[in-house]
Amino acid sequence: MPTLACRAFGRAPWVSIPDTDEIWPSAWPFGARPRIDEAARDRASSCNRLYGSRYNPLYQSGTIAVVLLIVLLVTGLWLLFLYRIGAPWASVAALTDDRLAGNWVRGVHRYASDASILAVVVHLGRMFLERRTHGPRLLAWLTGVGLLGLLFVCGWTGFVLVWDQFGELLAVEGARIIDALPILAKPLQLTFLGDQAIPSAFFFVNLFLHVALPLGLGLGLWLHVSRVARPTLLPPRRLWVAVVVGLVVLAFARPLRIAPEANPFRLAESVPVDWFYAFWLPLHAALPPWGAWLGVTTLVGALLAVPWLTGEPKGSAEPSRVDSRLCTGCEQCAHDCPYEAIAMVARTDGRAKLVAKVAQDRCVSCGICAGSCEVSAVGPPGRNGRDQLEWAKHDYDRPAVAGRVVMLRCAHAAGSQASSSDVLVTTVACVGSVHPNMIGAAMDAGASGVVLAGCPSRDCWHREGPKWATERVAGRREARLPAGVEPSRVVVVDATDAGAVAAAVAGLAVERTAQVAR
Amino acid sequence: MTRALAMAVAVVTALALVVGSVAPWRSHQGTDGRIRIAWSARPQRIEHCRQLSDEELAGVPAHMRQRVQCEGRAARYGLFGRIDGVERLGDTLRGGGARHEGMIHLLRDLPVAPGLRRLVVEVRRLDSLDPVADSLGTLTTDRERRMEATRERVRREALPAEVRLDTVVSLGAREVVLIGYDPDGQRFTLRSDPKRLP
Repeated sequence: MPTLACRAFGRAPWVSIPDTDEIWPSAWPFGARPRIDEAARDRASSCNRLYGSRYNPLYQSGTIAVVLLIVLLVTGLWLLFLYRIGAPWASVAALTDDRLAGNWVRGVHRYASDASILAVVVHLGRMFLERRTHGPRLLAWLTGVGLLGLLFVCGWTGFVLVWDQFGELLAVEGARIIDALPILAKPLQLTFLGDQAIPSAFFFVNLFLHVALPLGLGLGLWLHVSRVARPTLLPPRRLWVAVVVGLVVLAFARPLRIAPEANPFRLAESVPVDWFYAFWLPLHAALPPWGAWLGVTTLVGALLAVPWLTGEPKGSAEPSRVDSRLCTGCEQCAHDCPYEAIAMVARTDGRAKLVAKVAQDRCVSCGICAGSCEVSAVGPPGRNGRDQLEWAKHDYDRPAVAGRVVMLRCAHAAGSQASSSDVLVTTVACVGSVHPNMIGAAMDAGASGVVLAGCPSRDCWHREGPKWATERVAGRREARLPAGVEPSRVVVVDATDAGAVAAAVAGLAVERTAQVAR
Repeated sequence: MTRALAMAVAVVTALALVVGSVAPWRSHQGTDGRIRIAWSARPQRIEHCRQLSDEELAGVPAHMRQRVQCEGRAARYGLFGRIDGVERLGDTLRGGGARHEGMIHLLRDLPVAPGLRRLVVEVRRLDSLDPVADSLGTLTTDRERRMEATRERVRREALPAEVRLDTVVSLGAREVVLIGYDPDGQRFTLRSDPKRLP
């Protein structure tokens, strides 16, 4: 097996990728700019060694959050039947005592709500560190920040519903924050601390919010994924089953207890706090109420400003163009585009079929359409199928390529690479953008095989590159490999999986040796 | 080995979830209790009412004609509090809203060491009410009589010139004693934990 180390032969001139060094604004004041996006991707890919790229919880943090939301909805509906507005604490205490139909359901609900915060924060952090916050992901980032806020409010209303010591603490501290703004005629704190009983309307409104806000979460989630085609909402079945079973096991292994009932006449010495939702309490207790507003607005403002603070990456290329004379109207590019940037419209030149039309504002220049078009009629300027073929014919000269494995490696995929004389590496924007004709040109030049080393399938920078590349190589999708290219000599691998890449390279080299021997 | 490590990471995450889900926080250090003064009351209005003459009334648009017109403002009150003879409160109370004509809402927490405490809380009106200069004479229409009755009721329900509470309270550790206001009796009320142990 050859050492997996490839010599970067340079970047194809038709490749246009963001410069990953440029993470921070040009005014970054602290010396060398950190390359956190690559570091984060390396870290995420190192998690692949434990769980595999398909089940990597870092890649799946967003879809795990959706599963948790579904768990919350199902368990929440059950708990809703057992909750009484007139006796909030007593009804929750009764269902907590019911080991069979109450306690574990409440436990699953509680642990799922905590896990959802964890999943969303991991998802948000990963997107930030990997710099997936702008361009086609701008809307997802902004709505994601909103969804996180909504999730917190949902959780707070849920804890207040119980009306135990923690619920009371959240209500009073929340009221203190709201009262810092001169918007309510009567301070909200008086509702909880005054000489009048808390009106049951309060618990009704709170319950209404707790039930209605998840609808807002659903709407937000729809917006969150609306910019992309075929959004993946659920993780693989084994993973979501593991998540749900894990929550149930946790609920039985560590049954929830209920804290003492809220009592405005007693200062609790120690309150059982859910730190996922109330991490801010100690800080808030030490600050004046306006400090909380200052902190929240600063944090939210900074999060919302991230796409603009980090700026548009260098090298953002022009959107794809369509050569309408060549377009056959097959619709493959429209099907393959991960951002729904291509639509098929009626032709104006009198020909019968439709013609592809690129929405300039939606196209991110990933080039996947270039790889999908049999006749090379579409693609970013200078990077469509014909441009790729021309480049390959020119640069893949026989002496340099003959007997070697050509690796077309995604510029976004994590993983290190060193040199080897066995492998010729060309960096591409996305393996999904590679036109099969380019693979054919490499094979024509005498390459022993072609390795398309892309992002992990669940973590593709352009969402569906490795998936489409695999199907094209297998002949299940346009554009197909040129006649004469054996599909067995073209391998699509996860670039972050060093073992798989080494095995692919070794396999192609061995096959070539066997062929020569024959 | 990898599988064991993957399992270990999952278990540690689950444990972190459990630990972070319910962990105690000492929200109140020490054993001090609280004297909580929390009530709402309407301030007295200092107003001057007079009857418009027929000529004046004729100059007002038809839908705005009111025989009796009142102008004024809400009174200010001083809040004073002493615990065991030590001055703990001294503040001026004003009505809510931009023009201070709304209800007075008060919420003050005084940390107090447990034990028997003499508590004096007093609210005194700071502004004197001007005597009504004009006699309103005979109110002829139902509407005028209703409006005058409303004004009278508001005057009755408003915080009086002086309300005082002078009492001794037994405050337990981390206990809250609540001083409220009863608008019907026009006096302060004292409430403590109904579940308090003897």
